[in-house]
Amino acid sequence: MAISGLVVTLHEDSAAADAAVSALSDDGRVSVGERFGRRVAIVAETGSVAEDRDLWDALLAIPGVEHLDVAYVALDPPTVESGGLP
Amino acid sequence: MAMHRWNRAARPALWITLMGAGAAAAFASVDRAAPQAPAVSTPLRWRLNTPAALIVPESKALPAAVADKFGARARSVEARAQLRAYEGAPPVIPHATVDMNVQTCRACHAQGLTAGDKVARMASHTYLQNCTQCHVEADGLASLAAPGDPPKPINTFVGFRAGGHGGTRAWTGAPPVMPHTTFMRTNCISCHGEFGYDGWRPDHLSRSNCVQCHAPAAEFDQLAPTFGKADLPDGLSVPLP
Amino acid sequence: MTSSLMTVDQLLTVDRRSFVKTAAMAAATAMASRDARGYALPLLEQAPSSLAWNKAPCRFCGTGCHVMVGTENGRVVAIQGDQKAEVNKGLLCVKGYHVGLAMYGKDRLTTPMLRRNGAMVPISWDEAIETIAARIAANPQGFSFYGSGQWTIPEGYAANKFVKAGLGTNLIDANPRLCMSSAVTGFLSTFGVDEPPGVYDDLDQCDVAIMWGNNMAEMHPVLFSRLVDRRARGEKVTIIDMTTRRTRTSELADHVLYFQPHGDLAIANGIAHLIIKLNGVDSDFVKRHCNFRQLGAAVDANTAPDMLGVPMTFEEFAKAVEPYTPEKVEELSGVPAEKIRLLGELFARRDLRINSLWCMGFNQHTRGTAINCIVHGIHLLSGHFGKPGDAATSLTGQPSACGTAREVGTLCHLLPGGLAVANPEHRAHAEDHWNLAAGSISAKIGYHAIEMFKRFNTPTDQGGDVTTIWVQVTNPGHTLPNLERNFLRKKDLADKFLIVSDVYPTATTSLADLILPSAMWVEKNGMYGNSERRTQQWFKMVEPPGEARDDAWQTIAVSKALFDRGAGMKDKDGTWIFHTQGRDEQAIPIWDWAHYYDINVDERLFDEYRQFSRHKHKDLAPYAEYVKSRGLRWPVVQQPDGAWRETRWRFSGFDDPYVDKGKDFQFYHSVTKDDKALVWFRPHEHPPERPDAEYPFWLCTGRVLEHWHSGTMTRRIPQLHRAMPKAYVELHRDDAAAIGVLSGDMVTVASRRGAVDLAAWIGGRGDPQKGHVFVPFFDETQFINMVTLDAYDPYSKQPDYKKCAVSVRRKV
Repeated sequence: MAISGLVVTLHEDSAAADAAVSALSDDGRVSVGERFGRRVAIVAETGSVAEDRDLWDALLAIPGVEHLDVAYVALDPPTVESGGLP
Repeated sequence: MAMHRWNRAARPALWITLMGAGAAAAFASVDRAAPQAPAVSTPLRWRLNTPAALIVPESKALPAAVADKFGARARSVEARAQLRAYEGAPPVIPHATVDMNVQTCRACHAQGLTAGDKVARMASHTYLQNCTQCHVEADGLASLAAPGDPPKPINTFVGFRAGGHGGTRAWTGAPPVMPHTTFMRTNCISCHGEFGYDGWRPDHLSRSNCVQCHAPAAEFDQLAPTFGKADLPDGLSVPLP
Repeated sequence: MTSSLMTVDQLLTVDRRSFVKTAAMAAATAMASRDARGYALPLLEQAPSSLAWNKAPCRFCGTGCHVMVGTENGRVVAIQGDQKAEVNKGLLCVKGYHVGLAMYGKDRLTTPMLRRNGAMVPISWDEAIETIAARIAANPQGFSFYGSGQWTIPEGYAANKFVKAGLGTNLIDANPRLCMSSAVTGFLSTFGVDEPPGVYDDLDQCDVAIMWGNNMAEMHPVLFSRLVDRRARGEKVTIIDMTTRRTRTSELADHVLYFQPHGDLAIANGIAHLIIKLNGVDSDFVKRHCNFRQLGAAVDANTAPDMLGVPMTFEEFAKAVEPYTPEKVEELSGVPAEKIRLLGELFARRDLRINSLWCMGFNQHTRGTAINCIVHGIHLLSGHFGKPGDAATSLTGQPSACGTAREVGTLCHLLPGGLAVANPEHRAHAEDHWNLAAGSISAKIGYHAIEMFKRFNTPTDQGGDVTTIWVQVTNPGHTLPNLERNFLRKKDLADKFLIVSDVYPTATTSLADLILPSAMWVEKNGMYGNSERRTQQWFKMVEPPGEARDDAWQTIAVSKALFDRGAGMKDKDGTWIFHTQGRDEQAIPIWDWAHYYDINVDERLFDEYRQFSRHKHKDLAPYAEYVKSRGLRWPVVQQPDGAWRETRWRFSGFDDPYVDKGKDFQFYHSVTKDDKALVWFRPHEHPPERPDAEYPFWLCTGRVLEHWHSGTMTRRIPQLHRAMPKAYVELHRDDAAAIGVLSGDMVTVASRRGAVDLAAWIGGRGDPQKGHVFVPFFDETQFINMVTLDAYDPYSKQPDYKKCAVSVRRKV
C-alpha cells in the first residue's frame, strides 16, 4: 500500500486546468484537496509501489497537468505476499 | 581511504548499471578529501532490496531513498532488536572473539567496515577500554561444545522494544528530533552513517555536526533512561510513599 | 482541510490509513500553499511510553552498581545504568544489563513443598509455617539458621533477632563465612573494627593500583573500567597484576607477577623488608599511629595462638622481616627478585598514591587473616594510608556481605552493629536495644558454616547436634567445599531436616525436606550494603510469582508461630519480638501475608537496627534518607542544618567526623585502646595440601564474568548462559601436551576427596602457569567443590578454595 501526498502544478490555461482537476476527481485512486491558483494538493492511494508508478504516469498523461511534486510518501512494510515490496 | 573504495567495489555491479553515468560520476567523486552534496535524484549509498522492481526509466522512478525508506527502516529496527535483550541493552557479539585481548575489537569497530555482506559498525559510544565487560558472545565456548552440554534456559522475559518511528518535528520540514537520548549514543555515524543501518541514513551525510540541528526529543530528560517519562524528581516514576 | 496535531487518543482511535492520508494531504497542502503556518503536519508521535522507572542496586556483585529498572504491566522489561549513581555513573557490566531477566526463568519456585515418602508435595503456607515451628520448638538447640550476603539488611536483621533474641542461642551463620571472613578478621586485627577505611574514590586518585590475586576485569568490571578508562583521558595509572594465572586483568596491566600459592605472604613481607631497607618507613606516621604485633606461642599443635597476639617493637618487626630479601621471596613465591624490588621501590615512594585491591585470593586462604593483616601493615608502615588514592581495599563478592552479614552481625559470634557475642558489654547493649532480660543473649558462640554443616552431616548420636537447618538465599549444596563430607551425607540421615527458602531449584533444594518459594530482588522491598560501606535502598516494583513470599515475612511468620506456642520469641515484658503497631497503637498483623505490606516492614526493622550502629561508629541514617539517595556511606552523621553527611575516609581527620579535632588520623577503635592501628608480622607458611607424586597439580577455583556464584540466576538468563554455557578446566599448553590433551578433550580432575570430568580449554580466557589448573565453579552440572579442600583459616574459619592438590588425566 502506498499513500502519497502530491502537489499538481496545472497548465496556465484555466479551462485546461479545470478539466484536469475534474479528471483528477474522477480517478478513484485520488483524493483532491485545496487548490491554490495553479497548484492543487492531492492524495494518491494505491495497492503497491508498482501501481503507484502507474498512477504517476497516468497523472502526468492528463492534459492540463504540467508537473507533479512529491510532498509525502508512506509505504506499508514489505511482506512475503507482496514479494518483499511495500 | 583505500579501504573505502575497496568496499564500494564489493557491491553488486547491477547497482552501478542502474545508476547511470551521472550517478557513477558522483559516486566516484565522493571521498573524504572532496565532499560534495549529492544531487537529489541520484541516491548514492542505498542498497536496493529488489533491483528488478526498480528497473524503470529514471524519470519515472521515485527516488529509491524515498521508495524503500520506511520498509528498510522497519527492517533495521528488527535486525537491531535481535541482538539485544531489550532496547538499551548492549548487543551480544554475533561472532567468535579473541577472548584475551579486548583491543582486537577496535580493529573493526573503531572505524567500522564491511566484509562481504557483514557490517562491523563503529561503536556508538565513546571509547571505553573494557569492551567485553558489557558485550559477550552470542554463542560462547563454541570450541568446547559437546553433545552432553547443559540445555539452553527458557526465560519468559519480554524486553522493551522501541517503536522505531521517525522522530517528531517542530514543524513541517523541521529536522526530526531523535527518538532516543544520546547516552551511549554519542557517535551518530555508528547507526546513521556509511556503515550504519539500512533506511537510517540521511541524505545529508556530508553535514557532520549532527547535533547542530538534531536534538533528543523534549520528553527525554537527559539524565533519565533512554525512553519513558521522567516526570518525577530524580527520574523516579513511582511516587515516594 | 486543516489538520491539527492529533492527540494520543485520536491516534489510538483513528486507524492508520486514515491517519496517513490526513498526513499526506496536510503535507501536500502545505507545499501547495507555500505557507507552512497553520498547516501543521500531524506529528507521527511515538506512543508515549508506559514504562515506569525506579532505582535499585544491582542484584549481583559487591560493587553495588545502581540500576534503573523499567517495568510495564507488572513485569520488568528494561534496565538502564543509573547515570546519577556515583558508583557506576550509568555504566553496568553484562550481568547488570541482564539482571532484569533473572526473575523470569521458567522454573521459578511458586509453592511451598514438603518431602513425603521421598517425593516433594505441594503444601500450604500455613502448613509450612507450622511444620517449621514444630520442628524448632521440639529442639531449639538443634536448630541453625544459615543465611547469606545476598540477604537484604532487614531480612538478615530479622533472622538474627529470631535466633539471638528469640531463641537465645547464637546458632546462626552465613555464607560470607565462605567469602569475606578473613577480610573481617584482618580489619579487626588491624583497626579494631571491620570494613574498609577507604572508598571507590581511591580508584580515581591512585597512581598505582595493585591487584593482589584478584581478576578485577571479570569480577568487579565496573570498578576495573573506572580505573583503566582514566588512561583514555590521558592519566597515568600503573596497574600491577599479581596473579597465579594470566587473565583479562593481566591484559590491561603494566606488570604481571606470576606467583605460587601462598607466595603472597612472602611478597608482602618482602615489601615490608624493602620499605625498611629503602628508608620508606613513614616514621612520623608510624610513631604516632601504629603499634606492632606478632602472634604469641601456640597453646598446642591443634589450637592457633589467639588473635590478639603479643606486642613487638619496631626493631623486632624489622628483624622479623629481615630474612625476606628479594631473593628469598623469589624462592618462596616464584616472582623474580627484580619485580619484588620494583614493588618495594613503589611503596618506598611518598609521592605516589597506591591502592591495593583484593578479593577471594586473600580471603579464601588458610592464612587469610595473616595476608590481610600484612597488606594493611605495609600500607601503614609506608604511610600509604588515609589520603585519597592511598588505600588497602578489600572488595566484596556479594551485594550485601558487608551490609547484612558483617554489619547486621548474622554470624555465630557477632551481634548487630559490629558488636561481639564474647563481649559482656556488647551483649548488654543488645539486651538493652531488644528489651531483653540481662543474660538473655547467650555468651556461647555458635557454629561457623563448615562446623554447622559438618555436624548436620554427622549422625545425631555421634555428636551431630545440628538437626535442623533453615537456609535462606544461598546454595551451600553447591558452594561448600568438600561437598561429599559437608553436604551430601545428609541424604542418609533420616532424622535431619533441611528447610530451604529460594527462588529456583538448586543443588541445595535437591536434598531439602521443605522448600519455600521466595520473592526476589525487586519483587520485594530491600536494602543492600556494598564494598565501600554504601547502604542502598529499593522499593518493590513487581509482584512475585505464584505464592512466593518475602524471606523476612517467612522468618516473622515462623517467629509468631513459635511465640504462640510459648517457645521463646519474646522480650522481658512478654511482648513478641517483632510486635509492630500503627500510629493508633494497634498491633499490625505482619505475620499475616495479607497485611505484610500494610506498612513498610523494612523501614521498621531498619530503623530499629540502626540504633546498634552508633556503638562502633558505623552510624546509619534513617530509612527515609536512603530512599532519597543512591546510597550513603557510613558513618552517616547528621549536620547542624539537619542534612545527613556520609563519610568517605574513615579515621582521617579531614573527613571522618569521629576523629578528634586537630588530629590527622585516629584509630578510635584501636585494639590497644590507644588510638593506634596494629602492624602485624606474620610469617610465610606453606599451604596445608601441596602437589605430590599422586596429585601433581595445583587446583585453583574461581569465577567468570558472565556467571554469578552458583549460577542459579545467571544460567537462566539466555544471553549469559549462551556466552558461557559450561565449566571447563584451564591447562598450560605444555602440561596438556604431556598428558596428551587437546583443547576440547574431556579430562578428569581428581583429589583425595572427589573427582569431576571437564572439557579442557587451552589458550582460552585464562592461562595458568605450568603445574596449575583452574576451574570456574558456577556450573551445577559439574561440581568442582567435590574436589576442593575444606581446610580453613584458624581465625576466620574461612575455607580455602584457591589451592589444593589434584591429578589431571585425559578421560578415556
